This record gives sequence, structure tokens and C-alpha cells, in this order.
Amino acid sequence: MSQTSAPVRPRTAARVALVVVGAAAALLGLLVVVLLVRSATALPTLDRLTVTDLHLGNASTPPFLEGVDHVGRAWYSGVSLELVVPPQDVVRLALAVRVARSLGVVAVCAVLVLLCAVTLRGRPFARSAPVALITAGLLLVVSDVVADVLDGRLGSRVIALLGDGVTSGATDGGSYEGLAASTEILLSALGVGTLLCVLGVVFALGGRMQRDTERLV
Amino acid sequence: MPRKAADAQDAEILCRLDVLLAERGMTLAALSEIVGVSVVNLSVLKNDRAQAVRFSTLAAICDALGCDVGDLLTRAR
Repeated sequence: MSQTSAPVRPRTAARVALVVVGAAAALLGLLVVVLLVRSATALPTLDRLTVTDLHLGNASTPPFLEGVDHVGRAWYSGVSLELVVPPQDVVRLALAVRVARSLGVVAVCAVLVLLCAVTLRGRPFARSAPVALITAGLLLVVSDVVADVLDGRLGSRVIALLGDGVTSGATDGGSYEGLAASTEILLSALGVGTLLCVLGVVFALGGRMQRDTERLV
Repeated sequence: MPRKAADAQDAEILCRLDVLLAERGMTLAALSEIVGVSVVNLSVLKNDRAQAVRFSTLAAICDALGCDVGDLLTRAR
């Protein structure tokens, strides 16, 4: 279908902002992909692997906060450690976590670049926008949940690798501090992913309204 | 079978703007000046490529040409 209604191009300030945001998103997406490729090539050959935010059970109070005024209770929340000569399955899990986390970021960057481009062309309600927004939203939700689950499995695998001596637990005399396996699914990415899906539906409605005004005299 | 408003098929409505302009010896550019609608949009209307026309546009064109809506738009069959 030919389009005779003129595209409504944004004003100069908005165009500059769109170019800056679009370029920044493209660069960030590219950077994430490059870092991911570097990780994928370097990780299997590394002799050390950093694992962050392992959950700490029965956490003790940091000594420097004991008896400090205004502090009712204080505790450590996690442990980061560097594994020496990590087993390949641990490396593969760590890489899978990075891939899953990066997928969502790349999807959001790609959809941001697309939205900036179609808005710059004066056709913000392009047919591709709803599909891209909903796909990015779903990808963000799925990849983040998968990353959280894999992160939990990575923690469990590391704890199993280090042995029973590092885990937290309880005895007749009380509890003792140590690592504890846990899987936490954060809701922030779920919220952003849902928002993108809703925006996709809004853009689909906008596209229909835009088509209704085409060839209107 | 009666058509629906949202049907994609051709509405089969013809615009007689070229005939009315010729009868009055008026150009599209002159009409554009009078009614305040771009020549491009008037050309779309004249060549039956418009999908919708605002009532205000119809009224302005009819006023400028001294005709009725029925003189401007007709069914193809």
C-alpha cells in the first residue's frame, strides 16, 4: 500500500537525543556481544574462575560492626571467591549464566536501536515495532529467569566441589556459618520484560491508528 | 452480500474534482490556496487514491466550487 501522508519527523533536539540514545544502545549491545565472545573463548582455558554472590547461611556479624551505635543487627550476605583450576562443568555453567544474562541486554539494546530508527524516520508505529518489543520482552524475562536458575545451579556445584566442610548447618549446640545453596529469581527483569510486552501491544494499536489516517485528505 | 466498513476491498467511490475544476476553469493550485489543503492531498483526492476525506475538507471544497457533496463524489457503479 502506498503511503501519501507525510511522515512526522521529530524536532531537532529530539532527533539529536534519538541519535545519541540509539548510538549508545548500539554500542552497548555490541560491547556486550564482544565481551561475551571474549568470555566464551577465554573461559575454557583460564586457570582461575571468579564466582560471585554465593549465599551465606547462618551469617556472622562483621566484627567492625559489633557494638556500634544505631546498628541493631548486621550480617554478611554473600561470598565471592576465585576457583583455581575450575572443572569444565563449572566453567560451562558460568559461561551459560553470562550468555543468558547477555541475551536480555542485547535484546533490549536491539529494540531500542529499532525504536530510535523508526522514530527518526517519522514512522514510530512501524509494523516491526510491536513484534520487536514483544520478542525482546519475552526474551528478557526468559533469559533472566534461566540465568538466575543457572546461577543457583552454579552455586550448588561450587559448594559440592568445595566439600561439606564449607556448608552452613546446625548442631545440637547451635548453628554454624557456611555457604548455602540457593536460587533467587529477581523480579526487576520480569517487570521490565512485562513492560516491553505491554508497549508492544500499545505500538500495535498505534500502528493500526496510523494506518487509519493514511491517505486521509 | 453487503460490505463491511472495515473491508479492504476498493470503496468504488470516484471523485469528480477534475471535471468540476475544468468546468470552472480553476487549477488545483488555485483550489489549494482557497481551501487550505495541500496540492499533494488534493491530487490524491482527484486521482481517487484517497481512503478517507474529512468533512471539513469536503465542505471547504464544495464551498470553493459552489457544488454539493454529491456533485464531487459518486459511486463507481
